[in-house]
Order: sequence, then C-alpha cells, then structure tokens
Amino acid sequence: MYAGASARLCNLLQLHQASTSLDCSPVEREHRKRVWWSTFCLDRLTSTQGGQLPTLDIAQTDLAYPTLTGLAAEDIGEFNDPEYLTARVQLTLIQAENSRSVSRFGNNNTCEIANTLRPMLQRLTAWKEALPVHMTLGMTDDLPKSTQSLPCTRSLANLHLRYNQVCTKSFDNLSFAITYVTLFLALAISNSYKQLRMVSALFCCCGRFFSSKLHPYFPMSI
Amino acid sequence: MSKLKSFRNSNPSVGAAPRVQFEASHPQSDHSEPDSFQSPSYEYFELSFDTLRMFLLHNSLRLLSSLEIRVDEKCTFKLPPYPYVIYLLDQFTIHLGHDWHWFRLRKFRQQLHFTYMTPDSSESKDRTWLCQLLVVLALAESVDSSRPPQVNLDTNSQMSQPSPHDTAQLPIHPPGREFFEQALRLLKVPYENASVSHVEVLNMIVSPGIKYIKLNIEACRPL
Repeated sequence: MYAGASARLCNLLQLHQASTSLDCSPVEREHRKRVWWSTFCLDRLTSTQGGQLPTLDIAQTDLAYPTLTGLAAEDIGEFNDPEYLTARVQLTLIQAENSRSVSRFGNNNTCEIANTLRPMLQRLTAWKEALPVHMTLGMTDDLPKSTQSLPCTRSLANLHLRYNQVCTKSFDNLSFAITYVTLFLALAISNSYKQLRMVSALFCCCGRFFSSKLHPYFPMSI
Repeated sequence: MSKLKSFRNSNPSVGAAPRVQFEASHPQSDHSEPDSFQSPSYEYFELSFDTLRMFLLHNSLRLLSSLEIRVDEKCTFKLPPYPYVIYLLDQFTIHLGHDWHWFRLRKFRQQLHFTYMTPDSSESKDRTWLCQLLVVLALAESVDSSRPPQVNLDTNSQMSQPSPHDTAQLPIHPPGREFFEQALRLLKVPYENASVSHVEVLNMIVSPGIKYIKLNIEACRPL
C-alpha cells in the first residue's frame, strides 16, 4: 500500500521527467531525481516480494543516473556517494531484464538455453566489472578487507549480497528447464522411450505451471 | 452549493475548513451583457479528515494491536532527548544511510536542530517532517547494535531459567516500536498538494527495515 502510494505521488509530482525540475535549483533537481530512482527500486522490490505488477516503468523516465556533477561545493554534503544508488538501480534493471529473458524461455525450445543464459551472465558480469574500485569487495585471507569506512561497509556488503541474490534467482527457474533437457537427452540416448514419454509429460505439466508464473513484466520472486 | 452556502452563513461555527474562492471564466455567464465576461465564483471546502489516512491506519491495526484510530487532527507524541536522537541518527547513517536516497542529509539535520532548539519552529508543527523523523528513529533503534539483549535471572529461585509464568508477564518491546507507532499516527498521505517530502516518508516506511520492526511486533504479540 505504502509503496503504491509513494509511486503514485511520484507520478503526480512528475518526478520521472527531467523537464519538470528545470525551474528548481541544482540541489533540488538532484534530490528529486534520486527520490524517483529510490522509489523505482523500492517499487520493484516490494512488487517482487508480493508477486504484483510494478507501478513505475523505466520506459517512462528520461532521468540520468545520480551524480554530483553541477552541484555547488556547499551542496555536495546533501547527498551520499552517487555510485551506490546508481549500482542499485542498474542491478534492479538487470534483474528485471533477466526475468523477462527467463519468461520467454519455452520448455520446448531446448536450443535456446545458451542464447538465454549467455546474455544474463554477461549482464551480471559487466555490472560487477564496472563497479568503481572503492566499491569492490576485496578479500584478504578469506576475510573481507576492512579498508572501507564503517558507514559504507555495511551498505557495500548489502549491495553485494543483493548481487548474489539476483544471480541465484535469475537462474532458479532456468535450472529447472536445464534439468528437464538433461534428463530428456539422457533417456533418449538410453532408448528408454517409455520412461522418456513419462518424464516428458511430467516436465511439460510442471513447465506449464512454472511458465505461467513468469510474466515478462514480473520481477523474479525473492 | 447555494444551499450549502446559506447553511454555512447561518452557522458560521460549523466546519472550520478554509474556503478558497476560484474565479472561473465563462463566455456566456451573463446574458444581460453579452460582450463582457461575468465570472461565477466557486467555493472549495477542504475535508477536515483524510480517508486515506483512515485506511492506512486500519491496515496497520493488524500489526499493532495497541494502536488507536483517531479521526481528529490533533495527536500527541513524544520525542526522545536530543543527544539520543543524534546518536540514533548516526546509527541510521551507518547501517541504512547509503542503501537508498532517503532525504537531503544536511537539510535533515538542520530541521532536527530547529525542532529541538527553536521554540515554536515550523518544523515542530509539520506533521510530515515529524513523521519522517520518527520513522528514522524507529529504523535506527531497530538496527542499533549497542542495545543489550534482555536477560532475566531470578537469583532467589533454585533454577536459573525463568519460568514460563514469569516470561508471560514480562513486557516485550521490540526496538523501534514506539517510534513507529507514533509515526503512523502522524502519517497523512495527501490527496492533493503532495510534495517530495511525502514520497520520502512513504519510501522509508516501505523500506525493508520497517518490515523487520513489523515482524518483531508480530512475533512479540501475546498469543
């Protein structure tokens, strides 16, 4: 309810459009932009958990990512490091895109596993490689480095936990399809046609059930 | 509308809602002078309560059984001492401050300063600001790692473990509960005249940290 009200107010205030903030000061403009991005991510997060449609659509906004460029020196203290919020936004978008990719994967299209899996892996890998140096989670003797300041350490750990969560859930339903294909091929090779038909029917029923749960616009459940 | 106006004129004490007059242009409003515009005036009456707030409070009843529904605009709340608020704000910054963009950092501290240090400041009367402050305090208390666990040992008893009877009588206060309850009382989502600060408050209430408080409240409710 609260997430829906928050998203609705964002639409009412037209925070998704950069042109509505042109009359504002640079600090207020940046503030409105970050509020919208935060609302967008929280909307996606809550709709994922509740299995509902998100309210805000990325296609409707022309906002740039958070930045400190253009702000006066005395106004920089109003905001945190923009890279954190930018990384979270990008991770949210990747999660949505991966969910769409998995939802388009049909249980009869056995040749599309690599074509589906490869872009998902590439998106996640590219995100991690593009992280700024100060946001990488370095390890020393199997323990995280404590070189970061305390306020950033927890948020940084949370960000990487979120990354691992997206990785896990992105391949959750895809692994089901892979298991089906593997078993299908194994039984076909063993010429066990009777078992093959039985297993195929079983996976088809389960596949239709899971496919119906994956809507292109639904983020993956966490 | 005309009957409502006559009723209001005969009963001036009824409804203290402010009245705003709008001038609407109509090309044919005055037939006696077709060449000039005669603008009819409209009167706008604001509601004295917000039904959305009632709905949100009703939903929160499922989580906070001790919360009362109040229709009137006036409500009382308590703020903690200033040093403790500063400490909680630091805890919030450490544990949750970098997750999302919650508010403008410097402006928040300035408003906090005026609330405590300036008598009759506008901040001390701003429901939205006070709601936001209380949600911050609730979140900060919920993640405050310095709070010691509650342990009760009865040294007079031969057993060191507390009896089930004693446990049931002990009050259980999940950290952040009191602040969160007060924040919900102050929460008012407007139908009109919304501002970015309303979005800020709602985002904080949506945050995963608040779910932790709600789960703790659910877990601590007596069976």
